[in-house]
Amino acid sequence: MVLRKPAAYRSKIKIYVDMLEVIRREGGEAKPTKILYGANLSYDRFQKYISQLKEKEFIVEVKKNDGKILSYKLTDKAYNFLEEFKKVKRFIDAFGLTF
Amino acid sequence: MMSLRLFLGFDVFMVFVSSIIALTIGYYAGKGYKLTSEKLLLYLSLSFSLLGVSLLVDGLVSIYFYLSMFKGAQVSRIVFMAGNVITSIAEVAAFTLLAYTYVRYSFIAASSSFLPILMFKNYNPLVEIVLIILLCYITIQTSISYGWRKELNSLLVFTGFLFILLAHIFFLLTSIYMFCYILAHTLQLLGFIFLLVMLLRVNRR
Repeated sequence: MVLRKPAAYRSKIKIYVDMLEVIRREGGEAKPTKILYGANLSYDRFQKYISQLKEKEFIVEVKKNDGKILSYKLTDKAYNFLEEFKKVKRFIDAFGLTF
Repeated sequence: MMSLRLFLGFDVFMVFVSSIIALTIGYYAGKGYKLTSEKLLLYLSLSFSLLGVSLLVDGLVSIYFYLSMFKGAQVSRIVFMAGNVITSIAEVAAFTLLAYTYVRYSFIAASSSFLPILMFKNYNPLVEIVLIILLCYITIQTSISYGWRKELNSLLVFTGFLFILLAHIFFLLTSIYMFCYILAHTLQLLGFIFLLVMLLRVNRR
């Protein structure tokens, strides 16, 4: 029996889930640095994926009075996505498969 | 022989139920693929959908056969052969794809020596034997997965494939012992029911 090495790179969907999970763990709203470190991303990749999450309407920005971004908040769509992803993960786990 | 006659029609019912379960699992995996774009889910979806189609064609051919028999009409050999060819190709393709998925995506691999032994043993190239070989590999993978995870869902998948494997062993023996036909269908249905229970459990909130 041989344990497979984890995949060398994280797929886009895994990065989305990691970022959204960080925000959820923080109570549904998290500061950019918290997400960046929590999801283990470089600044460039963080910028890229955070804008994709905004486009997909998974998160909304919470801004200060001066217009600077204070934090990111999960939308209902993101909560539904995470719930569905959890089910798909359980389904794959039941087959003993992994992505 | 009497018990076998009573069984006529019931086999079709069991095949259709198994087909619906396979198609449901295929649909669910397809939904997962749409959500995540992960190829693994596409392969699972394709293999279970093919399996569902294969069982569906098998059921339709049986219905055609029984209807012709009851009406006293002659059974068309072409329909029968075409049905069998479609069923066999779809089933072999489904389990080959599923075995490939395990080779490619299993989180834990059976000793790599397992597969060549199973694949290159000198069996007759009959469809059922090919299916049994593929199912052996899949069942071993799912049993290792259960041994590792110790989760009920993994146990259900393992038991499901084990029953489907046993069903195909009994399908192979049908030509020698007719009662195996009943047993094989029952085991196949039970196998798919185990997979359905897993799907229902996975979808709980």
